[in-house]
Amino acid sequence: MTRRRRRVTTCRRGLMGLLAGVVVVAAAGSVGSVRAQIIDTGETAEQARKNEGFNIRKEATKFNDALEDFARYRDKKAWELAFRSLETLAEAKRDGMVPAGNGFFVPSRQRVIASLTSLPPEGKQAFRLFYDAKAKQLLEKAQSAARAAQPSANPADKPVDEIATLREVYEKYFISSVGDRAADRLGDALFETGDFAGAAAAWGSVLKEFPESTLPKLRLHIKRCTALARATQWDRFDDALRQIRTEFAGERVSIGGKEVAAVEYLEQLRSAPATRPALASTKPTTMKSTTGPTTGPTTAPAPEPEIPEPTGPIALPADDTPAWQIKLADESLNRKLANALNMNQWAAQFTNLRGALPSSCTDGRRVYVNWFGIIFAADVKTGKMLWRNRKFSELGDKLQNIVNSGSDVDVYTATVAGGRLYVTGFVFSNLGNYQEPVRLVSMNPRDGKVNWSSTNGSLANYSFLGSPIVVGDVIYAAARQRNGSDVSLLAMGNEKGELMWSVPLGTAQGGNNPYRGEAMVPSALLVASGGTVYAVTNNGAVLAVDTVARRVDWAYTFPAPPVMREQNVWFGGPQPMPKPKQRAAAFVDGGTLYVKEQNGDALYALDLAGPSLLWKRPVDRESTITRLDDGRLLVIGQDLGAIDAKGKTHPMTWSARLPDLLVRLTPIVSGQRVFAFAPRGVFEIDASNGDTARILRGADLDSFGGTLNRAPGRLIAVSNIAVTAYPVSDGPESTSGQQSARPTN
Amino acid sequence: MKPENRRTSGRRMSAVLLVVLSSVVLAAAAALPVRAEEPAGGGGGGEGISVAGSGEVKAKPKVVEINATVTGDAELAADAIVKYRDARRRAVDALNGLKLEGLKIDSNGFSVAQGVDSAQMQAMMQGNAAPAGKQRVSVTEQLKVNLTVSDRYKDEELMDMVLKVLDTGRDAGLVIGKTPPRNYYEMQMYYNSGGAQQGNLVSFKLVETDGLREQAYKLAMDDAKKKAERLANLAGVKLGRIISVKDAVAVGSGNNSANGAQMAMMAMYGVAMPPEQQELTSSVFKEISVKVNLAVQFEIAK
Repeated sequence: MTRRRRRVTTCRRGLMGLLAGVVVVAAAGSVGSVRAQIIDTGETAEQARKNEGFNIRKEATKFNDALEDFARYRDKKAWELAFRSLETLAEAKRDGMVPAGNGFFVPSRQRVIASLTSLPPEGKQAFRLFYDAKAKQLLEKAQSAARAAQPSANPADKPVDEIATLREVYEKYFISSVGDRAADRLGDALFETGDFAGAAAAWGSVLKEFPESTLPKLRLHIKRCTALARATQWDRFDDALRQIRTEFAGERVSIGGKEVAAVEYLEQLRSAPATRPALASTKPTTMKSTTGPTTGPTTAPAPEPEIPEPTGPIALPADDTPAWQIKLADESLNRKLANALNMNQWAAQFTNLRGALPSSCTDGRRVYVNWFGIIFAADVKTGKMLWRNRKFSELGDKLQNIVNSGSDVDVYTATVAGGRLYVTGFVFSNLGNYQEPVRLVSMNPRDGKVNWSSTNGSLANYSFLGSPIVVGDVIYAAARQRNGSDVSLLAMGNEKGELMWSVPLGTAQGGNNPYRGEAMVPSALLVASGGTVYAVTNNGAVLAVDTVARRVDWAYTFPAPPVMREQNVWFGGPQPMPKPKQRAAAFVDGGTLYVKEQNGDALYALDLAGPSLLWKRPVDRESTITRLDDGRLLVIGQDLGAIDAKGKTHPMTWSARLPDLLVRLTPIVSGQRVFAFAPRGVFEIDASNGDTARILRGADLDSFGGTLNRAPGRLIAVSNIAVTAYPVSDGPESTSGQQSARPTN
Repeated sequence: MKPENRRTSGRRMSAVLLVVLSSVVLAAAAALPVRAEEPAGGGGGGEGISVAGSGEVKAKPKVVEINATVTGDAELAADAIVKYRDARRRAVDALNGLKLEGLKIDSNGFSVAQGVDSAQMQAMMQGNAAPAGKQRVSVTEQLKVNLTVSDRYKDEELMDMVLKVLDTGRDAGLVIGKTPPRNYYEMQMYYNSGGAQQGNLVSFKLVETDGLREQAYKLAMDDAKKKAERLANLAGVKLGRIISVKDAVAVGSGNNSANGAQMAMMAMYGVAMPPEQQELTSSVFKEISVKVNLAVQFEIAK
């Protein structure tokens, strides 16, 4: 063979190979367009990073340009041009957020007011020259409307909306000579409508931003504190009270026609039980009986006597004998799981079914388990199964659907609060359907009957993202439109599940289900404190939603954790199994919001009074956190560890390595002990130094470990194969009233 | 040359060739049983009688060795140190807390390496744009947990003690032995580097084997002499002095073939084995034999 001929042959072979490659790639693409996304996203790493992370609702570029123009002209003291920029800002719709520095975003309305107050005295003077007349006119209009409080003499005239008019003065002309009066009156009007947080903000801005105001300061303080108390914003209340003690010691004020000492009045307000904060609770609370339409049989639960969660130390049993045990998975089911994974090996790479645990919770009376759509309740004392929504064996027939859909089994949750059980998950009969939404269902914890479900009505088009929380009679949950990535906070009535209101939070930048291409939106974690619901998106953002004013107060963004399933596939075979990822955590402790997203690489401590970032520190991606005790945080992951939150560098003070974890861990912190259900038993760890005090091997050693729940006299361990209750002695109740701390499971 | 001379010469040539060929065949045949045990280039082709003598002494293992790893891995070096330090302290305290006679924990040294950001690795392996990778620090120390076996222990007692050490170590977060393969690549590496033997958690060792070797050498020399005398008697010659002795490979009967192969290579190249490698190991608790092979050449006395 000549050299040329060899070359031609080689070329032909190369072309044939290339062609074959193209055919294979094309075939792969036709089989599942998704695979191409795994192989090549077509993005540079830089682009991908920019696109990652929660996209909060931002104002248009024009708005931000006007803000920049204003700042530039203000600094140059070009007042006319600066005010023209302000007019552009005022004309905008102002329903988005604008950057406030250091990763924070604030509503554009708030930013416009901040721009006004940032003017130097000569700028404010110039502003008054330009706008005082208009401001006074608007204020007079609002005051007249309030005074008259009756329809206009001319029926053609539209009734003046007092609040809207006052808000216009407040937002556009706050630094005019009547801005303080407008804000004061706006506070009064908002207070009357029940928007206590809004009222407090209005009075607070006069105190903070209007030093030359002639309005009596003490009175403004009192009004603000009263509003803060009503809004249960106790941290801010306490700050204000400290300031009043210093500045107005011994001063008296007239309230309701009575002269009272200001500090005494506020102290009484602080201690009044009626105004104690109504925190989100996973404990049962006494509730009114429910009536009205439901999607299932009417099962209005009569109030059950509350069983408080024990707060004293836990004494583990002397031996491994459980009080009772319910086996979940048997040999037949395990075989079906293996078959399901084997039958669709490609999809099996993307499912997190292998290392998944049932979600569980307890109200002290029963333990509730959501095992991939099979929901049941067992008596805490006896272990008797009180009810279940279907037979365990039915799960075996659905495992193939779960695998084939590549769906995320972390969507199954169980929460008991206010005498109701809330579960999330896919409708069992629809398992495997394309773009099947995650539903929220309210059940009667006594008999498992459905109170209502999001499968129909106003919630039908939503897919729920994580567990709901319950504050009083309102359920809050994060959800998205079933085929989209826009995330909202929904407020629903707990009786009927009606959608009361919703606040758009932004758009998740998750990616797609690598198997079927559906949009993947991470589950959000909600935490309520002082009238605000904080939504941790697990996508690089936390948003504070004022539940009274029903608006986003602020948002904080940070690098988003990568959104990826447990998939480990690449050419040549599966990659090492990743370590189990603990859930996200967020909690408020003394005016600080601690946030650690699932798979995020840092812990953030946010000062809610600012808001501002107090500090952040790296924490393992797979870990989560919870409150250990005053000033210390517990890191939960392969290594348990304590972080000194009050220390200058927030050091890790001890670490305790656990046996290799196979599933997510949900430990309990009780006093100076941490209890963790690891693969080799229940570890009792001394919280002061991390030493292992004891290991209870228990009766579920074949399992991967998992979740611990606490009920009076019982420690309930929920693993991948069983629910096991151990008899424990509950020590004397904690004098601080501190409850056992545990992250969500 | 005359034709007669040519014929004579041809006959002589044939006879010489026959003798040479016969000698070669005989020599080859005689050398056959020994050759395999002789080091390369070993004698036996010279004058005299060459034999291979072997000696074997058996003894029960004296030490149980368990390899363990303690690791601290974090983004902050300060965290990695806390994790490593506490994990080590707790593991050592827990093992010492067993109060087992003869338990000793030694360090095989530590390493400080770049840790891996799991999310970054996962993203890269999926062909996706990787998230910004944070640098991590991984502090790793290999621990050697040795348990000296007393003769008074029964097998079951020893087994109990060993398992107690394993349980305690694992409870304390130690990684005992090598981690089993978790994927295709690790499986390949696993089998390329010794396969199932890597799964052994415990090895049983003979230590300080000098005395045993001494006995084995003596037995090997006696064996060689015995063989040589037998050959001399059969050949009808008298056995003379020893001309040369070559030490072949001494291998234990433990199933640590990698160790045996290494020792064979070292013997081949005349490298002295360091004392710690003269330990003979087995993954099974049974008598370990110390074998010595000698290639001895004797002179034929005139």
